Amino acid sequence: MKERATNRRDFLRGAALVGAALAAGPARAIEPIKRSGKPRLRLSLAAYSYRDYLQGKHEPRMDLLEFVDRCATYPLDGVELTEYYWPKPLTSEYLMQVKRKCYLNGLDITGSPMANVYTHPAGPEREKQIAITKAWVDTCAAMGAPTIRVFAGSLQPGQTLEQAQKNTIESLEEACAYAGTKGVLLALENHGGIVAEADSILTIVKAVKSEWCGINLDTGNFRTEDPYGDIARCAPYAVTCQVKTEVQPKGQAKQDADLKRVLQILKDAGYRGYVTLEYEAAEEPLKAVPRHLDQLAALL
Amino acid sequence: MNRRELLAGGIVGAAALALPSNVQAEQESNRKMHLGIVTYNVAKDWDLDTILRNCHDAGIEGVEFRTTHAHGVEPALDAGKRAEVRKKCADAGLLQTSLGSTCEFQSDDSAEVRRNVETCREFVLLAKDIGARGVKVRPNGLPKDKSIPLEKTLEQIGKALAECGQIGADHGVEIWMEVHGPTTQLVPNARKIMDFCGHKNVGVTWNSNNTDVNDAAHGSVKENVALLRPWIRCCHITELWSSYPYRELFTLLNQTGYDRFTLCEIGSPIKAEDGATFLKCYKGLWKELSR
Repeated sequence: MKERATNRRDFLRGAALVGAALAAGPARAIEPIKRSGKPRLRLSLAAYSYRDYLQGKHEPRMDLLEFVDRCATYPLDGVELTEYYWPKPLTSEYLMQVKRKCYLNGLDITGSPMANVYTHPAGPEREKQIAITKAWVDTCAAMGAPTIRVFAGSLQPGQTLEQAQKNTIESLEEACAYAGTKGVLLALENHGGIVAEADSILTIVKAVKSEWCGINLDTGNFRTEDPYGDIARCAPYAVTCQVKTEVQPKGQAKQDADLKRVLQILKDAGYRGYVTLEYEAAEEPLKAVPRHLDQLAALL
Repeated sequence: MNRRELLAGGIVGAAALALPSNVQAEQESNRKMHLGIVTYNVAKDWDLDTILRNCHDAGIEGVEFRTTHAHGVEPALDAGKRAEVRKKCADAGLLQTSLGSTCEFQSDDSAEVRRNVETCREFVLLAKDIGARGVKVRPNGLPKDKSIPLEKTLEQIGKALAECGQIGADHGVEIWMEVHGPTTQLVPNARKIMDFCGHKNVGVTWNSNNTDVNDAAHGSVKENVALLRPWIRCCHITELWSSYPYRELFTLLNQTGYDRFTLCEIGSPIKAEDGATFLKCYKGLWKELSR
């Protein structure tokens, strides 16, 4: 029998993470998402990859309808239609036109990421963040998007990590309770702030008491000593995945991602779902994206 | 030739022909080590059939049956049951089984030490009958009498281990001392025990203790692994998602040609119905960290 010593991570980090874990109940073992069948990866493209065209900064300017047309020429199963690029105010007519075009082109709408902050304590600002989440849940339900990428955010002034984690957990639970009634999953992205590292995002996601919560695993966002190890730690909880073409280990320059390795990690975790290319590298996207999609399609 | 002999003889490839496809795919890696589980505590509440089914479904290649768990693989089994366990493990495609006893040898009561040696003998005979490769034993700290010099206790443990080692050798079963217990789990002390023991049939089970980690050396286990590497015959690994430097440990083992087992030993039991999913994901993380 082993008398396990205090977890070294907890020992090193003191009370912060421990406090959050205790708030969520006793420490639990990893509980991966249960899936039937063999791994199945399908390819999607994030509209964010063409952000400069969708925002009118570069030619050719395009809107989401034109983005979908372009995606239909690529080896894609779906498209990720980021909230930022929908016209404001968004009319039902435009929403349905995009939905119709996706269907007729054989493309699923794989998700619609939004921007938010969940680290606020209970009060008006948190209520506002929950309200915009619920509103976008309604829109996503109407368009048929099964996931929404959400952020955690950064520490609020004077806030400890433990408090920020607790607030994020509470916000996610409230938002997920609503999202679940519409059949939409909220996917917390490892995106800087309080979820820049695997430990923290796992602490939060494992504590959220909702089956409508998971991780939006961004494979380029762990700027840690071991990005691939951190991707592997989080993969069992991924409900959607954004693949980047570069990684940047701590203290090193950006480097090409080993996409085969990334996809193998997802397969080994039993992942079934979308792998969404989110292109952010320096090369002209209209040239680089089709090439990377061909590469990914061959690896799936 | 049985499976244990196949593995010991370094011809895992031949055994792999009979393995599930997911295990065969694993053989394509340069990695020589294997992944198994200790029933402590992931499978604490699973019966033998559940253990074998979940391991097969997840591509897990070895099992260490820790005593007192629901599997019931204990010295009390009669010959018929032992044969049944052996056949079931072989049919499930396991490359290795072992027994996790709690035999310990640090007591200042010589009769107590003697009882533990005899219990170890019972586990050795069980291991022989079910085709297990080794019996895990342990020190579990120091005697209650604090006046006894540390060196004397370490020597006592070593000598008892040597006796167990000979019992094992007589029956083709290895003895593995878990690096375990307050003070005794400190690697320099474990190394001294091995030096006092001096029996070629006795090695250690590396236990991935927090005390292995040298914080002054940037959280490395390199120095401590080097102290015990010639004796490492099994390796317990814990929560791979923790900050224990598993990538470094696996790299050190790979670099030194370790071709034996790393066994998942985690603190929390997993429900039987979630077992295959958990073990698949555990294996996925293990593959990435040990590539």
